[in-house]
Amino acid sequence: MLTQLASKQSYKSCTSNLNPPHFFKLYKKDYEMLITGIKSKPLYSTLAPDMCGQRHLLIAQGQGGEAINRLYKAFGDDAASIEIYYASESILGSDQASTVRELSATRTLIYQRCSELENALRKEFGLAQMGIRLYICGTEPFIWAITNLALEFGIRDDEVQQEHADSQARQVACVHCNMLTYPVKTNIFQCSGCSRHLLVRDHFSRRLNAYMGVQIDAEVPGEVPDIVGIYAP
Amino acid sequence: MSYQKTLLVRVVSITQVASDIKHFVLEAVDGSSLPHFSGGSHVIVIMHDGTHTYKNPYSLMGDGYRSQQYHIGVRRENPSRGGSAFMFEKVKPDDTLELLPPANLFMIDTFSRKQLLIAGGIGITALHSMMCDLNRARADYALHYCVRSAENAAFWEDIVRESGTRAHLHTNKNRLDIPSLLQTQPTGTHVYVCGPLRMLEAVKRVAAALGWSPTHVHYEEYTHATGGAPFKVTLARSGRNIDVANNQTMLEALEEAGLEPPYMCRGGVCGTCEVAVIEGQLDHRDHYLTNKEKESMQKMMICISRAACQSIVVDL
Repeated sequence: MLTQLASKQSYKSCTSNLNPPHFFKLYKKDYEMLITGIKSKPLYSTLAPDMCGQRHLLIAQGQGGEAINRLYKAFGDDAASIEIYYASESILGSDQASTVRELSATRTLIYQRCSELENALRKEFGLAQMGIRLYICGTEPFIWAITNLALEFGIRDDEVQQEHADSQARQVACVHCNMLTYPVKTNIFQCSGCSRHLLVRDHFSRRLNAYMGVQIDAEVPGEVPDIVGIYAP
Repeated sequence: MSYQKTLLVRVVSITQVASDIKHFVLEAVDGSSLPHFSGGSHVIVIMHDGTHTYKNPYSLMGDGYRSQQYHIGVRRENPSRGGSAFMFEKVKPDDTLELLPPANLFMIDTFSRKQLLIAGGIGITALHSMMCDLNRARADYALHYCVRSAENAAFWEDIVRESGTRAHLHTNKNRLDIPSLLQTQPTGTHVYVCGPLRMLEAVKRVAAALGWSPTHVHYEEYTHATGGAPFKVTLARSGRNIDVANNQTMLEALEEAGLEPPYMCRGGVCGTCEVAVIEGQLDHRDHYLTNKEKESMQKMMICISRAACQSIVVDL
């Protein structure tokens, strides 16, 4: 790890003269406040029909198909105004396409990749009129990719519901090199851009669609606390 | 409010622009530039008429970035509690008026994709400055101005000059069809309505029926506090009794008695003047409290609401 980092000149210069005290051990309590109690961490709900809307778009990915199924039933007799956009792509390998296809919505569109679904939605949003409601279910990067896309078309908070499903893995933005890493399943990971060991904070950027990752061993290089899988599966 | 510095302005000109509307142009007495303002802002004009003091809110018209002069439109209210009649009949060019600086309770949502402005009669004054802001921002918008007849369309020529084909005039012969207007709007459209209560209610009702979320519907009712039956207010903390006359609001009565309750809009919109009510039935006329809060009869907006009985006790 350290040899890899040492190849970066700037990093080397600030670390070469330091003699890490070997007795020093970083415990979770020491960096706990960096992680928790942060208000920007999004809260997700359970999708429910909003009967104030006129046109309902159920948008999901992977395991989120289960929420579509549940929501479709909750609409009951009003299921006619539902359109389904679903992508099979799933970190958990949870493809619900066959279940989703059986629902008799006004329109059901199924894609392999989330990116294909996004392209289709971009076209749809461009033509859509007031009265629309979005119900989004999937991983966090999926939820915010769709939410931010909708925002480009002026579709806002009170027209959008979000439910978190599929993987709990986080997308993390490195504050040192700006690189996004996904999926991150551990409290500490090595940045895919600069290889620093980053601590995942609860600080979430809706614009970047990522949590903040900061170097955990900046003061004592090489002193990395235990790495634990907490955002899994 | 005592902590707000007032502006002293000179009346530059007064023009009758419709049978019941006058256009006032105001300039700082010392010739300095007046504070800039955003579209939808208003000022409160403080009028000293003998022993009486009126404080009426008026929307600022025109471009808030060029604020060497302020423009306001005043309609002769019938019946008037005094304020608009004073402006209409007693104020002459070169007179000095006192203003509270601009405040905005009717702001443009700058994140939206398209703006629909709907004005009824004198309500155009609140939307006029929005129009200027939207022109400057090159935003997508349409302005619908509803009047009884073309002669009543104050400021129309000016609006057409500023907005061209974005402006639409509707008269009794050519009424605005609100459902068909709202039916075909793209996502991210916001509607701003200023006019009589009936118009506001119609837009709100149609928008809700078409599935518009309430945050996309903005409105300002064109109303000034009207009078009502006189009543007595008991201030629980000091034990003082204050009479509110039939042509007076409770806020005005308290001010006349030497108190300085906080206020801002003086139209039952902003919630600044909220007072806790200990005893008494209330005639709520504001747009701030929820229906549930109104039913509980525990608080009131003293700038506009009145007692529905002969005396009330408040926590002041």
